[in-house]
Amino acid sequence: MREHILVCQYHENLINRLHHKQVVVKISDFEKIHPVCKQLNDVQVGLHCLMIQHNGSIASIPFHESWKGIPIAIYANEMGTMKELMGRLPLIRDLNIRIFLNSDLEANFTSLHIMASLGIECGLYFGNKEKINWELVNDLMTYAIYGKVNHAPLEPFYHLASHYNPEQHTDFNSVYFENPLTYLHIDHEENIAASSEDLDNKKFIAKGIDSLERISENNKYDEAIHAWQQFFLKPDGCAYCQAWRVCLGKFSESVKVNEGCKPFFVDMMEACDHFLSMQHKNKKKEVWQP
Amino acid sequence: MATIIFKPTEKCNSNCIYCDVVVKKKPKTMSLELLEHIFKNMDEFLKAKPKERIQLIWHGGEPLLLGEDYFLKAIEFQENYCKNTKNRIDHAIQSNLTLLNERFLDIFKRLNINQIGTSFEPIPNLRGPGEKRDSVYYNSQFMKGINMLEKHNFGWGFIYVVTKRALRRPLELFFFLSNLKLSGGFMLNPVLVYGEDKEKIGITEEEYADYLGAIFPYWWKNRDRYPQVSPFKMFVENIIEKKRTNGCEDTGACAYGHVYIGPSGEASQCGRAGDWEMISYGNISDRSLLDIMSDQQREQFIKRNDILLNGDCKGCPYWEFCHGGCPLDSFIKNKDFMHRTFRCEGKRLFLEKYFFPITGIRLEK
Repeated sequence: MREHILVCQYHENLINRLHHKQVVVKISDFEKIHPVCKQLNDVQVGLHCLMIQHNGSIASIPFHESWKGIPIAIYANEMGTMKELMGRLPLIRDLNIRIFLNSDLEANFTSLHIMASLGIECGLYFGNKEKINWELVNDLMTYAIYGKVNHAPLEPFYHLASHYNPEQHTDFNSVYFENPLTYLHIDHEENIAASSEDLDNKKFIAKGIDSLERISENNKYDEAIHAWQQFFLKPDGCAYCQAWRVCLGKFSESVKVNEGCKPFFVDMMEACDHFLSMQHKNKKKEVWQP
Repeated sequence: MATIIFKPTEKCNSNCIYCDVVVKKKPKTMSLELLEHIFKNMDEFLKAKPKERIQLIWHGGEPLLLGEDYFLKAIEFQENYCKNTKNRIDHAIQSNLTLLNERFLDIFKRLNINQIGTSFEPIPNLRGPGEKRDSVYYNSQFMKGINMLEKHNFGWGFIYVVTKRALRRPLELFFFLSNLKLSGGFMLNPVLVYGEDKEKIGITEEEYADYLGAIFPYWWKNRDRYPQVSPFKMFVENIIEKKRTNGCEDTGACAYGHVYIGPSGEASQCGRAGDWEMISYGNISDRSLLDIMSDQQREQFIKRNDILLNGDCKGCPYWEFCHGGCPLDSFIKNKDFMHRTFRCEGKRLFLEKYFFPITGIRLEK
């Protein structure tokens, strides 16, 4: 089994104990980027990504050349004005960052469209699930997958399309570091959970960094990675949906008041099939080699 | 290949609504002495037929109720009595998976079993233990079983039995089943009711055809996504790809290929024939497997093909992938094996009402 990537809030002492692990570190301040990277380097912890929640616009982010090469996921509220952003576009495109905007603000859908078309890797993250405007999500997905004009990958659509395999589930939560097959969440007391929500709710599956070595034998971990099967014990609900394999019931609660997820994911699955068939079509002819 | 439908136990930990093994019989389990005798017989059979293989399908009841020690004994008997023939014995197993544990998986590996057949039912209270058929408990145990299989790299496939209660929501159930089993596939089989339909679960041939017809347009459009769903896959292989991949009931060739051996050693043509006591080849305690496999009664299943081709099935364009259907189904209606089955009508209806119009394919004459 591949070793898990650990997701944690920045905590100096915890980082010191994560020797040789791969981590996603959540920070709230751009000024911490360099000190955190230095500490990780000093104690030989591998940086998978820095995750920054920015309560402001993208335009207000102090992008800097010294961030080059540092993997960063930025969650921002909105894009801000193009005027402020345009001058820094070459730098932003040069950085190893992906910028996420919240689905709660409808203007963000247009912003993501613009950012992708300007070559900025970006993505949508789902805020209030009951109020998602699925038609806008669908429009964005259509642009992301079917659009012929060059643009940067738009998440989570690109992840779904590029990882889609009709013979497996495809969990787009990986984009947000929320898939227990790849990511586990840990706090400074070394409590380990299968998701950030579980960590917040103190629904732990293990304790102690050492316990990670035997996590595949852990019953609670086993339950977490098979949590999707709970849908198959119900007489109705998401398991009966055509698009289950690319959604995995993520909107099972909100679908009761907002049914738009189903037509969206049906279209998403068609887009995945299309993407897959295009990949097959574009395969270069391979002639025998000496 | 000689296929032995081997039912060393009729006991089951489930009370599935469509299973009459439990209802009809007082469950019995095969003694170890008889088990030992059967392995000696298989060895004798294979020595007499050096080009032949045996497929031994462990069936039931629920075979895992036999316990790990029983299977270990079977391995011991095979090692002791089939030293030179064991490489021509292929084991397979049908289980509801609810009793699976890692010790069984080790045993299956020793028997070279790497694929397990099972069945599943999402509609509540059709499968499960007890009078009320606790399907929530049953299905959660089933899930643990498939997780264990997948963790240890065993394959699995399942049958879905289409009952009256499934008819309301064909496409939703199809989505459910295909979501559960993304790789490999499953079969949509009509429920078989022998005798009185006390639970009112039986379906007509027209209902079965329409059930398949409600799913088929979607399947056909997205067949790359769901390639392994039968009977659709089987029809495509037979009609379009010209392969002959019929199930046992449609081959017209079961006569000398199959045998059922029950818990008391009773022998019959196949599992259904044994369960429903339609035909007897005696008992393996008194007759050798060689004798049973060449019982004269089997000849009637060869003759049946000629009789049907000159009678019920004369001129039928679907003969090649139907062969008049299962002789046992003929017996249910006609009290003899020599007619085509009532299930032919379901196939014909499905093909003519859905398959050919939707695919645009025409059958070559």
